[in-house]
Amino acid sequence: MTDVQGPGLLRAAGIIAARDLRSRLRDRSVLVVAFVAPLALSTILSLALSGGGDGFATSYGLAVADDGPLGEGFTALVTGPALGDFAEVTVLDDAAAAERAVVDGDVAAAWVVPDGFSAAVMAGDPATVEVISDPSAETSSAIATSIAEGFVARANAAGIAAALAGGGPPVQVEPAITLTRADPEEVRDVAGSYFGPSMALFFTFFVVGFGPRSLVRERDQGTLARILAAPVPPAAVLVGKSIAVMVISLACIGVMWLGTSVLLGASWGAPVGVVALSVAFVLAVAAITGFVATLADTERQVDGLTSMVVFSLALLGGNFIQVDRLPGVLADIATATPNGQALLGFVDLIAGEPVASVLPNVGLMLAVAVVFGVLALPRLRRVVSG
Amino acid sequence: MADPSPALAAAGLRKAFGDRVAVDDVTIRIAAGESYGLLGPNGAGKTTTINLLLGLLVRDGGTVAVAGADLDSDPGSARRAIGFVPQEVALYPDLTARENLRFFGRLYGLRRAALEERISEALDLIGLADRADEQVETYSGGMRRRVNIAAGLLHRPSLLVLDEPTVGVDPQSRNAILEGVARLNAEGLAILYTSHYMEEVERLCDRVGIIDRGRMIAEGTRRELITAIGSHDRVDLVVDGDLEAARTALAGVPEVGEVVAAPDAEGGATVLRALAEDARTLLPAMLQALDGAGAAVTSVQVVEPNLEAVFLHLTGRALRD
Repeated sequence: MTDVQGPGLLRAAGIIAARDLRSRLRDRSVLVVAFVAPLALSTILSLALSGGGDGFATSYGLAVADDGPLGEGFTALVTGPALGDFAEVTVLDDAAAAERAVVDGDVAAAWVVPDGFSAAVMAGDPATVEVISDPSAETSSAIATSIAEGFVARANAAGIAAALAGGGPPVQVEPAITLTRADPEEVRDVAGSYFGPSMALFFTFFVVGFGPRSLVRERDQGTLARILAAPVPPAAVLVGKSIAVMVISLACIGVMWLGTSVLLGASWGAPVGVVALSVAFVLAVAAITGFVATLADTERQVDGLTSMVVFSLALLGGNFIQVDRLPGVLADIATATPNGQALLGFVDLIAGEPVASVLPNVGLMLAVAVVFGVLALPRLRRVVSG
Repeated sequence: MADPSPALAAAGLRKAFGDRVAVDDVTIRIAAGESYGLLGPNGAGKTTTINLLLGLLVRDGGTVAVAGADLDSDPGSARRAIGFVPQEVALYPDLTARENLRFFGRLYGLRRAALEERISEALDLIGLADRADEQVETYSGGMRRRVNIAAGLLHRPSLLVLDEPTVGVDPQSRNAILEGVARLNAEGLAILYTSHYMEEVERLCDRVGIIDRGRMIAEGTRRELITAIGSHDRVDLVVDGDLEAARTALAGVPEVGEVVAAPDAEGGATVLRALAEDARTLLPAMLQALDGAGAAVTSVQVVEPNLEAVFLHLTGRALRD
């Protein structure tokens, strides 16, 4: 008779988790997916977004209250083909909306042409075009200011011409432009840091998927039967694999957090919020991929199904397009995905919002985890128990 | 002193998958130190039976006790008493042999120095101590099979369950595996060995259960099974001298059945072919009778009916159909 006692649930789960982690760390493709690829991709995207690439693009707001010819002319200028290739111009209601758009990070800068601008210029009275800019978007701000200066110069010429036509003396109009920089403390400088968490979450999808896939692989290669023939509770298998998934997924996010902070100067926001969002996201995705894995019979089918789900969620949830800038229906769809919720939370944290602001996102992801966990657990038990 | 608990006492095992009954009222009892062969063709229910004994499948009926421990009420003790060698090589290919053994040893509660000692013993036993730190994926099929068996032995079980451990193995490795299992059995380890290779079961096992279509259709020692179907040994004798006198003398030996003269396989010498229930027991009397008839025996061959014949008799099909 054997002279040993079996390990308890937690010890057995620890043994299984340690073995899973050992295998993961030996698998170079896992290291690439978990650490190298997300860091590389987020670096590329961040550089592209900050104007470091050849394809510079930016966005501006325009609030024109003047219904005179100069107001119409300015609108025609900035919404015409001259800016079409590199700048997207959003027409806003008023100066307040323009300031809010800059502060929220929706646009890099905004022009404000006040009511009566045309009349004032024609009358030779002081008139002002205001440029509200995001201090962190220097290139975009400089371009917006330059455009405003060019317009003001032409407006001056128009004023002079109008005076001459009226028989009066030439009027010297002072440069009628003011540059207003929004308070850096208030600006949601999200774009530069956004792709850190978004890429971390995207690749975490795949890392989490290794867990259910490895369960099916172990079933197929017979090691699962061998484990279950040992004096360990069957639950230890699921607990052990969950621990391994949590550790490597959170390590992936942690490395991205550290890497983008050090290499790119990104700020992910309050650490407690980052951890809460990360844990909730991993739990939600683990439950979803766990459930999806139970719909498949073979490891290859698990691969196919989870890839399909992962890419769909990534595309819909805002991993490739900043989630808070998605239009209409797409924004609604994004909020229905766990990664969309996580990214909305990260947008808030990056913008300096307090931890409490992400609690609804965390709660929704935990709810997803519970729903899919309840669906997946009995099915996973059947995978384990045959 | 009371008899030790049987290594395995399983009664009335039953398992159905939907309408298909895979195991139907199977009972197996293996004494401590006994080797038991579960013989049957592919799909007969051998692996399902093993999975029921190990608790890997939920039984529809029946009871299982291993070394006196009930699998339902004391699963920990029952599982600790079993060493399991699955049909497939159930190892992690990216881990070394030592790491694989360490992992499975830990699952049985072995720790630290005791675990490392058992691992060293197991590696010595399978002759892989010098390659223990190489990843299993670099091993040959036979080497993997040996590690597969070692993983089932680490915790020194009372009963070693081997589910077709030689499938896909080259003859040399198969021989090494069979010798190893025989040695373990000789050291007192009870064996439950499933196979559809009749010769392996004949070579290894004290008793045999023949399973077909989920039912145990016969059980006993090899001799008991052969006798039960009324099959006879055949004794082929090549003799010099008066062939007819020799045939008559041989036929006169009690319990010797029909004796015929036939050419041997090469068509050269004439062979006297006698049927007997237990040739090895009767052989001295047969030789004495031939000597008395003045016939000199130059060659004797005893051909015993095998379990293949038993299976054929019981089912009308060959084992490997």
